[in-house]
Amino acid sequence: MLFNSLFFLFVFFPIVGGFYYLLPHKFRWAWLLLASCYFYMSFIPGYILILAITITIDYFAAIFIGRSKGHSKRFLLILSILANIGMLFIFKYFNFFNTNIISLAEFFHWNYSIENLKLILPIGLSFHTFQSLSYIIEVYRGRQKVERHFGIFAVYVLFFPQLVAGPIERPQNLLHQFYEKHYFRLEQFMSGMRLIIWGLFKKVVIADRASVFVDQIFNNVNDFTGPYFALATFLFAFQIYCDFSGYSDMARGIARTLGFELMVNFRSPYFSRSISEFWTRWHISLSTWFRDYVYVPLGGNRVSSFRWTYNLFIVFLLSGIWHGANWTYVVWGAMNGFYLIFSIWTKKIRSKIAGILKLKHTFLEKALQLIVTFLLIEASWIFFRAQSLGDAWYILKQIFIEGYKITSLQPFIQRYNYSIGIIFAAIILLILVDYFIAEDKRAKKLQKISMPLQVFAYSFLVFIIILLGQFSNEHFIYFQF
Amino acid sequence: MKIFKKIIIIILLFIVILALFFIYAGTNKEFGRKFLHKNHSDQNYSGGDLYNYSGLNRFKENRIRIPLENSTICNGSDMIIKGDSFFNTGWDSSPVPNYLQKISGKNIFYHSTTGSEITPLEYLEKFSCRNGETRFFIWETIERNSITRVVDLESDFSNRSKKGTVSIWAKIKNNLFYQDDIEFFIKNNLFFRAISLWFKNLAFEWFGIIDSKTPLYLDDPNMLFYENEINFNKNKHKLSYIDKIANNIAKEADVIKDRYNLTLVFLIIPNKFSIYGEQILGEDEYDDFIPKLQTALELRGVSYVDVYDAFKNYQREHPNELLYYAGDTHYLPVGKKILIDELINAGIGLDSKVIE
Repeated sequence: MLFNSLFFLFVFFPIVGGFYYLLPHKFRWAWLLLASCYFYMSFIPGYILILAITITIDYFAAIFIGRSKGHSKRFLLILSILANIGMLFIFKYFNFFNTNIISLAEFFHWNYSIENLKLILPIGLSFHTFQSLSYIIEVYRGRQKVERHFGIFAVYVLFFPQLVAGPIERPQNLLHQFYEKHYFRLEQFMSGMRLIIWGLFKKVVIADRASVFVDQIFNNVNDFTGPYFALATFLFAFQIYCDFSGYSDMARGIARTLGFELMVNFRSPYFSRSISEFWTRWHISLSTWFRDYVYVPLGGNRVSSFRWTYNLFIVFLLSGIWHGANWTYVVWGAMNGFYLIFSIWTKKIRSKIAGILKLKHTFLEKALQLIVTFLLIEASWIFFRAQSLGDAWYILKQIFIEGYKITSLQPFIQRYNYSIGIIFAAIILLILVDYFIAEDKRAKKLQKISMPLQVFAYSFLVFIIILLGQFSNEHFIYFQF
Repeated sequence: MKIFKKIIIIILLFIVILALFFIYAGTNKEFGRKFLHKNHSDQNYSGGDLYNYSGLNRFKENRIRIPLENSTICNGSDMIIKGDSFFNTGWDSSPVPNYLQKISGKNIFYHSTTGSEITPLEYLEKFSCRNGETRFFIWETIERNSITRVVDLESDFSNRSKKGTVSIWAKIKNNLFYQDDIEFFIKNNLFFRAISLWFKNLAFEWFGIIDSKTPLYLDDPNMLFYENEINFNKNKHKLSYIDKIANNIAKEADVIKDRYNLTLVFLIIPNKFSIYGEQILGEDEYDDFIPKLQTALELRGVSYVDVYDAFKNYQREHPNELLYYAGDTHYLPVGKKILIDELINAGIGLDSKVIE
């Protein structure tokens, strides 16, 4: 069941929301649990068992961790982590590693006969595994009380708005909310609806419309040349942003209509002026997860510069492989790690050059930083989207070396002129809104807009969604991760 | 503000009740049909399958359906036919099997299997056909589905049997988590469909936006094309792959001959896009999938009826007459007539003497 499906919007969400407020508080967790199970089971029903196993293991692991001390506490933590990661490994990474071993075995003429598993990746596995892990780790660190109510813990892992594509919540932020009594508040409800509408706009007007071109070009690389790849890469940057942040907005909006507050997952990432800033604005729930549970335990930046570099690189490699079991994601992660390390190494030199050129703190410097950051991120998206490393390399070559001599965009634009025009107009609107919410001061100004104007603006947005939205039930890209 | 809040709460309660109504109407088809838009509530009427996707008035054609009369007994028939919607439906003219039976006076067995993709062998098993005197078995398929239907035959021919029964778990799963009917009802009920049609036409007129299921169209002649057909034709088929398909058909022909003493006649209906696609600016030429497949079948001794060639000839000779509906993937009565003429001339016992 997708957030942008008619069944979700006109049946599931109204019924779940309506009965949620009609039910007495003590039954609400059970209602949410039931709704969340149904939501998840509408993808592949049997896979609810995987979640049930994860939930049961982590529920008891946390209780035992809470009771234990010293080595046994650590042992239980490791056991729980292994169980979670093991599940993730079997479903998501086994075939990737096995295929590579098979290739190596063929190359060296080894006798290796383990075949790939015929398993379908459960939707959102990486998200709920990481959310469950964060609970276990926080209990181990003593920063989170052990949750003794099995149902509440289950609904914490299964909570349908963020179950399949995040945000990856922390127990300190979400768990206590299931105990709080939520009253229907019109302002909160309307604010949630605004987020849903904005998220839907990003998804169906920008992301799904852009996917028509992006898929056509990236899936048939031999049929296209440089200018097409440049256009497709540009559009993909906004497709993936709108697809994922659109989902996050809808997730936050749906949760908010029920009285829950989920963490902000995106904060105008393309307004970043450096790679490090980008990663504080993009997929914030994952970046902070890796920061808190991998980077800091590795020593963070309180170590030698070599070790710091190593820590950063490892985190980005893991982030890459978290996204998918493919070398393209590994390279994407490595590229971002390299960008960050390089920017740290060259920070002083760049600052000196800016000083010499008298660019420091000028508009030009800011604009240059913004453009360079965007272009670097764009280049890494090629690896993220390409179907293989060979394809990614071919695309890069076409863009930078060969493509422009051979062809032009004219025939393509001619056929899709209206659609491309719509996407670019929608992107401009997105950039304007992102510009306002990129900084708190400006965001507050936006919130001060009068109610009638807001109602008009959102009604217009709904009109645009119905008029220009691409309603073909396209999956959200991040479901696969 | 209080009144505003009350209004919002009433609207929200109405939406909850509407959601419950959608569930009831989507799961109880008898009840739900009363609230469907005409195109879906009246089964003897259609504006066209592609029109239904696009919703664009300029491609709407009002047509009346002449229902198919299924045969009941396979044994003793002069000819057995297995086909898809091109043979099942009778838009503005009788369905092909009924028409053939009428004009030839032959006993032709035909049964619609719409909704379940079964192979010819499974078809013969399903209707308990027995080995008899030498007869012909016509296997008709639309080009866009021809590969998937033939690839299905790759399983072991000697051991292939009827498809398995549905497990209890699968039944529960389907009843509990199957949302397509409810989704269909929401999309096509009287109120939503009317709004959606208005928006679709507006989006087309203002921005040239068209449904992704019908991404290409022609202005002259006025014609919509189906996404699946466009994708099929864009995927240039390698000769080695065509050989593989022909091998599968030939194997099926051998097994049918062996078990039922039936001679298989393969009939492939061209995609509308294969006939008219080249007229769209920038579209590639047709890759001759049908002629290549027919040549491969000939080499393997499998009989076929060449409708593609007949359609192309007709198009050349009558450039102003259409073979397919503007808002539908299916052929017009004139296309059906050409197909029937080809069948008559194919030397499979439907010769003109009998017809007269």
